[in-house]
Amino acid sequence: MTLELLNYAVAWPEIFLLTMACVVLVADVYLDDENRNATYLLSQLTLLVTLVLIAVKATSASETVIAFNGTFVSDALGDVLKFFIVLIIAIVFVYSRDYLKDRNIFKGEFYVLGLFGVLGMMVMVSANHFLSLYLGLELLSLSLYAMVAFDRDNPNASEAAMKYFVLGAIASGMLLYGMSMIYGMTGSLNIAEVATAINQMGDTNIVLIFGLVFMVIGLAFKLGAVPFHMWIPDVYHGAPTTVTSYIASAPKIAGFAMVMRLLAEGMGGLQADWQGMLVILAVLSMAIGNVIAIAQTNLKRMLAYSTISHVGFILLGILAANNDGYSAAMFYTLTYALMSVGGFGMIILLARAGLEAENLDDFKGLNQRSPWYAFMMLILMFSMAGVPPTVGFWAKLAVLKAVIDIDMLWLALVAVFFSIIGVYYYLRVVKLMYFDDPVDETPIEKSRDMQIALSANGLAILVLGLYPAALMSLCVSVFS
Amino acid sequence: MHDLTLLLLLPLIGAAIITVLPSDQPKLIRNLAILAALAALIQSWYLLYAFDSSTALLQFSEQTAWNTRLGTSYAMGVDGISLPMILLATLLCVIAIMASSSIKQGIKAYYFLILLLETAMLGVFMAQDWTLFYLFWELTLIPLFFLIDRWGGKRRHTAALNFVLYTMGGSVFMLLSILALFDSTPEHSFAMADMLASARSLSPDTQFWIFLGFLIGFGVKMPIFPIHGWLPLAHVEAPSPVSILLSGILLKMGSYGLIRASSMLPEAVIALQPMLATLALFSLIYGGLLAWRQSDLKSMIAYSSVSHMGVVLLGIAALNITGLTGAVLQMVAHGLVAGAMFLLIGLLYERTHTRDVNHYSSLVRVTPRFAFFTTLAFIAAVGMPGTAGFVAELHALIGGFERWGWIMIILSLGVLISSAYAIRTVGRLFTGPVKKEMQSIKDLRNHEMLAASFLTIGFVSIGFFPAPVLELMSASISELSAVFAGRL
Repeated sequence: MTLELLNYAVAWPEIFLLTMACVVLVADVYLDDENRNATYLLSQLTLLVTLVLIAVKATSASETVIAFNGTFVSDALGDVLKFFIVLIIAIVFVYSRDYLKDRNIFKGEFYVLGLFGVLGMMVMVSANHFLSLYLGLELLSLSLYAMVAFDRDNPNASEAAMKYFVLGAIASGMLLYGMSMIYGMTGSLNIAEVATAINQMGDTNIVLIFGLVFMVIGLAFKLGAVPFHMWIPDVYHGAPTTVTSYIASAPKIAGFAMVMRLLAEGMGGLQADWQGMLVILAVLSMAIGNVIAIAQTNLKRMLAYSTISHVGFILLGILAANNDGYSAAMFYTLTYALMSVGGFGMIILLARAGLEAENLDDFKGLNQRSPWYAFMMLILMFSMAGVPPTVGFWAKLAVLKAVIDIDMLWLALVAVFFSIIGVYYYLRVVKLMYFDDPVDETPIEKSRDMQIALSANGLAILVLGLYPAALMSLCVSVFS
Repeated sequence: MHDLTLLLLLPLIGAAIITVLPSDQPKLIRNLAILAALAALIQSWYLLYAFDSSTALLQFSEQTAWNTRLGTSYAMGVDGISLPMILLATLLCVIAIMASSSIKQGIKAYYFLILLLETAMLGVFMAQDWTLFYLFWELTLIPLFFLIDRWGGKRRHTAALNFVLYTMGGSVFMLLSILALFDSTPEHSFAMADMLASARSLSPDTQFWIFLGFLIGFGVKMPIFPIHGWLPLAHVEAPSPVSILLSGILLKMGSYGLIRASSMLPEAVIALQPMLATLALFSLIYGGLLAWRQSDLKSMIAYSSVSHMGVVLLGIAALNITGLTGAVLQMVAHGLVAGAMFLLIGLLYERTHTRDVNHYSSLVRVTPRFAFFTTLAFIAAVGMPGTAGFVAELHALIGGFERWGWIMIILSLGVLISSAYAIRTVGRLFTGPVKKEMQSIKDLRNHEMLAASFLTIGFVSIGFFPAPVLELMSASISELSAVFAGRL
């Protein structure tokens, strides 16, 4: 293998990120606690430069390039998804600083693990090979396991990490088992070659379908679709809120990429089979997610169940199995990540030393404490509920349109039925903020950068709702 | 700037200015809100002045591509059916704001939300793109949720939640219908004009299912029996000015949407005609009977709204010129009359803090102004000749008679019921033995009387001179009924 074949140029963002993550790791060792801020700033700088590198690469060369001996693909889809992953993690980092400082866990490890997680996600997004996909996934997952247990004196966090690790390992096992079956039948791990082989064999091969089932189970675990969702509420609840905001946002984008690479690109020939499986997963996710969320009094758990229902919607777009559906699902995923990071950002905003602000009651009377942030939370809740003119409405509209396009009206009916149930618990939060008296009058004191980022985050939901065309065209263009 | 965009923006600008005003200046905020609503009123009358009633074409049209990927556009326009609604909406908003002097807490938020609501309602009547329509339609929910939940009566929390969930539950079916229609539109566009053409060519079976979705969405709002459950609660618990807007304009959004949907899906409407008529007559009698049984004044008016909107549905179901004219006219008439009734009862409630009709007695001596306007409003609600309701019900009656013949006796029965409770209520309120605690009630203040007389002049003058209003909508209604005439 010559070096030319490796085609380094398309992987500059990943290479840079890897290098810098190592630099941050080493640099952090030489810093004492007073200068820990330097780690944070260096990590943010890394993400910023990575963002620029991705943007430069995306604008200069948009054609699809296969690199690293067929294990890595660089295409428009990957560029857009990576851009949003890095952007959203940068927001997560901004939100994290005060929270970590208040709990005396403002350590370099959080940022190093975070950066490695981003690298894992980027590898997943660009995977053209079962192994590189699995490598990326594990890099992400291992970083996340450690991050969940990051607040090591907190028993809840340790319990959550344990659960996450065990279930995550099972899911990885399922995925690998499925991959091995596919490999056995097709003789290749390269996604493009697998696709050609499957097309030749047709969709009646029982071993292929077995492999597919295991792979879908693995994917459903990672995405958190019912009935493979058990880890989500516990992990979201137990993990420190900054870590929750990490898990709940960008990894969903990477998960979407994984589904796209494996199912849409690799197993396009088995579409009729996985479509049916995704229908079941989507309907169950929307049903269980929305119904159980009503019973939650803990906001983190409520948002966890809401995530499950949103995953159902994303799957709905993917199962349409055409470019319209894929772009709708992508639009949904990107906007969902933005809403989710904002939602957990609000919890972080209200949290302070000694208070997690994770119960619904902590949001009581927020309007009296801070009308501006109550308004931001209002936008976020309405957007998650899919009320116009927020972006959540357009996301739901695009997905429903894709589903109706393939003549699955009943599925659209199920989806709107459960989103109406969903409206109830989002509205309940709004109600608490605006109509109840605050139980806690402490003024909200957070650093300026967090306040600006959170405001921008909330306003972005509204502005994207008023001008959805640009982002939507972007999502459509990567699939045409 | 385009006239319609300007109309849409005027209340919004007022709302935006209110947000930056200091909250310790209630008078300034209130005056500004009145000013913004008045500006919108004037602009809507300018539209009437510039409107050419001889054509059924859309006027003041404007269109800007909004999201080309989805085929949505910012398209606005008015015709002879939407213009009366716009005039009604801007008038009732001014009245509602004038009647809000009893709101003392959270004034800033209150007027902000009312003006936001006005923008959303106007948007519904002007939108010429189904996604834009849906957007404004849902946008009305947000201010109303807050208005009911924050300033409402005892059971306001239940009422607000019920209202929002009911309406949303209905409107998602409308959304699905819109998407299904879009699916069959070759132009890849949500514009009403584009969808209209392709929708009419759909098979009757497809039309039927799509129309059913619209019927649920709009039926909840109108409301039609049996999906009226939210209405009594919301109307009773909402603060009185909001009740004015709810029954005066919000209900009309439902029937307005239904008219738009029927013009798109004529085959389905024809197939469902008997069912629509049955529902209409049932709502009419059912609403009337329930109103009769109420002792709470506000819930009585709320149920009478169900009954009156039954007339609107009946007019629509008749599918001929007379019936449709009756429907649109009844929308205007009921808007004015229900607005007046909620206004007066609300003002009365402010003074007595009771809505139970049995607590009142012999008010005519202490409050002659109240007695005058309230009696007129109740007479108009019955549909007495000389009021707008009479002209509207007569049209609906004739339209229905052309279609179904003597069954229309049921409509007259409905009128009979409504006169029974109207006369009884007027009697209880203003005559009877003198009660001591009712002797110290203050009569209408001047600005309240002004608000009441605007509405009264409205329904009385339409009652005596209906021609200008009829002419305003005649071209659009002829075109609409021609769609059905060819198919029946």
